[in-house]
Amino acid sequence: MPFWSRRSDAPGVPGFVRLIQTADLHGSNAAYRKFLAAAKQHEARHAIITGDLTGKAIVPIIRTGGPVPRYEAWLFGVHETADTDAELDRLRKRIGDVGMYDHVCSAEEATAIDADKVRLHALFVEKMNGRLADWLTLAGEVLEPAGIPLWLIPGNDDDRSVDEVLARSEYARNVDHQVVELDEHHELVSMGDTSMTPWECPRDYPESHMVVAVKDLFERVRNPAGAILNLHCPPRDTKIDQAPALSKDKKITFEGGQVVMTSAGSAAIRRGVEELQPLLSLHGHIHEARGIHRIGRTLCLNPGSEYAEGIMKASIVNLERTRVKGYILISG
Amino acid sequence: MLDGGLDVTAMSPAAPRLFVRNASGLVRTVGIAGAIYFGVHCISLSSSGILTFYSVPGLWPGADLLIVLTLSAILCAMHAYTYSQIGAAAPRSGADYTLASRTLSPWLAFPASFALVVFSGLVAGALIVWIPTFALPALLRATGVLYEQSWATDLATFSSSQTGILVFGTVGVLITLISLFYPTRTVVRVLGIGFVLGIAAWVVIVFSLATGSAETFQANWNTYVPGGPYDQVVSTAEANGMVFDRSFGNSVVAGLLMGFWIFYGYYIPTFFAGEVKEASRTLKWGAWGSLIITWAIFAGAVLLFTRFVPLDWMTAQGWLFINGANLDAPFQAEPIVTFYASVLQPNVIFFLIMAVGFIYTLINLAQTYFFYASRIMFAWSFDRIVPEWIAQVDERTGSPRNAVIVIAVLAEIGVLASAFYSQLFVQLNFVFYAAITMVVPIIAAIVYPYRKKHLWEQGAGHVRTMIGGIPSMTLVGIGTLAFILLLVASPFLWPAVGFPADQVVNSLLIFVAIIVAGVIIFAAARSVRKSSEGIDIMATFQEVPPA
Repeated sequence: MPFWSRRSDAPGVPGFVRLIQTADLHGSNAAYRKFLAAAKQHEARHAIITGDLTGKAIVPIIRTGGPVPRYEAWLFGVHETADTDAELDRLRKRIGDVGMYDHVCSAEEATAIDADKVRLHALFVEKMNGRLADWLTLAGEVLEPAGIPLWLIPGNDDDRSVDEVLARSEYARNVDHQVVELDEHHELVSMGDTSMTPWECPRDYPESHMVVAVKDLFERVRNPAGAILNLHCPPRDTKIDQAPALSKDKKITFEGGQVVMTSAGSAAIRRGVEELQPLLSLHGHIHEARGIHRIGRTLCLNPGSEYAEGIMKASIVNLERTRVKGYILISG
Repeated sequence: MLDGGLDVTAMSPAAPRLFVRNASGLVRTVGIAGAIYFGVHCISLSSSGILTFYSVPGLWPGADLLIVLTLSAILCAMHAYTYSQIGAAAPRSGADYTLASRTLSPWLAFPASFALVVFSGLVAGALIVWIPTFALPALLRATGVLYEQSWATDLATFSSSQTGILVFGTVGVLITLISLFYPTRTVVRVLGIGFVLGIAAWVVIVFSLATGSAETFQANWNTYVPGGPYDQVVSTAEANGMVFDRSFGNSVVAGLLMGFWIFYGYYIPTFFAGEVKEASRTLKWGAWGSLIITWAIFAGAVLLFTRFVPLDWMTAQGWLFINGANLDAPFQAEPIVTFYASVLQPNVIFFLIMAVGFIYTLINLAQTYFFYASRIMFAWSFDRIVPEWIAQVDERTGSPRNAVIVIAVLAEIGVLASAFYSQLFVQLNFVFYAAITMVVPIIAAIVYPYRKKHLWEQGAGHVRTMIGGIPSMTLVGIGTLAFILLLVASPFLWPAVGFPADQVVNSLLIFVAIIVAGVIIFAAARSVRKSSEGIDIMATFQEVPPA
């Protein structure tokens, strides 16, 4: 079924552009593949990934048994076994689809890795960058024939080592800290840095850094009326930056039987959006804060994330030269 | 605990089960204890406590209350299992709507969700009406009889009159509305206080029941309650037409039908499924845990009370109150557990704790209904079915004012309906409507393993379990559907919970009108979005096959 109606809003009308954007895929093969398919299905002019590309966990698949190997793993608290290569492949696919990496090894090796933080980090780097490289290759195979450019940035959870992998991409383009022209009317303004989180992730920064980074980036925008922000971190005090408030030991806090929510966005980004008043502001970072928020004329969007269920969440936006014509949040 | 329900604390002693790196995103960490907390709060120790001692025995004279409570809890546990599977299969806000719209069709799911929100708003009003109908008169009447203050007795009578219900009910709606204009953090503190007050009220009730005696109760009743001596309550009810049916079958039928009356709310954490860790385990045990705890409290209170007051007497009190308007029987007193406890222990501190606790938590319960109904409206707004302004929040307080105002309007209609028809009638309608709107998501759950096989196969925990080669989601879902259809049919089959004869057509017409309104809203939204924005909202419900 065509996604648009064939009227004045149809592609081809001067100034019209359709974007598809997602964020926080966190290594989920299923979510990523669905995103690529959705870009084609909805005939987007540009595909954008707003940070946090890599996964956070590795599932050790323990090889046991004698001459005929047997495999065991725990996935979401459930004991999984595989007795054949086909079953092993299915298990590995399920692990990949929910954003985790697998590592087939003996129980002894798993224990040794667990005890050696340097070795564990190296394993993560190998797994994260390997999958990311596969993704970038796939993007070229799927999107290039359709003529859909893929613009992406790392997010605060992405290790610094991914920059090198992204730089090697032949099709997708890392636009972190850059202002690029999508067409004669629209500029894409991108940054993956975020305010500090309790976890002190690779791209977490204090607000003082965010103020400087936002100023530096926004000063390069030539036409705010047609600017599209692509910032991993959402603006502060909005509906799309609400996250559970945490105690000192990083546990969710409750009051009156309800989760206490707090703002986790950046004040610097908020001020920047208020002053620049761009056309559109795309975000991610807070998985559970899917939704929209308006700051003056600017429509701010966070598609949310359910990568751990293998569910793709994305936003689709129809733009005219200086107006958001329509938008929708999709999941699949 | 990192997000996605990754349990890093339960490593196998032989080998690690998971390697995790330092990363952000601590979400989904509402555990089983948190889900039980939600569930107990939503079941409501106040309104359900009232229902257990009044409408259940009053509607089913002769039924064994313990059998009714137990059977109801078991059936609700089955329903809870299905809803926990729905929440685990679609772990996000509005899980039932999400699963149904994606598995069946938004044309079915939206009208059902729309009807649920409309009736949740109405029942929020009906719950507020418990205050002028029961809680306030119990406080005032106790004040009046214990301290010989006639104004208090007069005000109690006014409170439960039609005008009183309208006045106090509207004030209650306004208080609830205004309270939700405050920042969320303030609101949750208000709810937190309510939880403590509710527990305190039940501590007083249990203490009073545990330390009371038959002689004290009878003597105090005859002293304080005008209009009918203790030993004439049962005979008065029987003389006016109450017939005890002590058969096991009567208890079973009551147990089959009263589950939602007593325990409704245990599955509400499904609506917040996006915030729980290991949704499969947490939602299942959260719902079951809250059922077990509330069952234990109510059954314990019944056992304590019936140590010195026969169940027949309690039944007659409920029956006289329910049917009082049509009888020539003298009015006695509100047949609620707080009043009984006050009669046993006529202590001003005690009855203030109970009355304040019950009134406060009834407002809290209405606030909870406002909360979850507004969350569902947010989900509609994300899907572009309703206008953006409905999901707008106040910049300063973060309050979803517009959504809350819409629910308040519905709640006021619930107050009006309660005043003009009776609170019981509204409650009856709510059970009927709540049940019928669940039919769509439950059917979606039954067919989910077949229509969304690939998603079902990667589902967590009990979503993927099989019973005799059939997915448990399907098998238990069929049982739950039978239970729900029984509740839907009950107003037409059992007079005890039947619509008044002159209201059957109205009840059905209202339901049909709301469903049709839901269909029209969906069609209109689709048309408007398509023509003015160039988008088809059906895109949000379509599954995207991976590239």
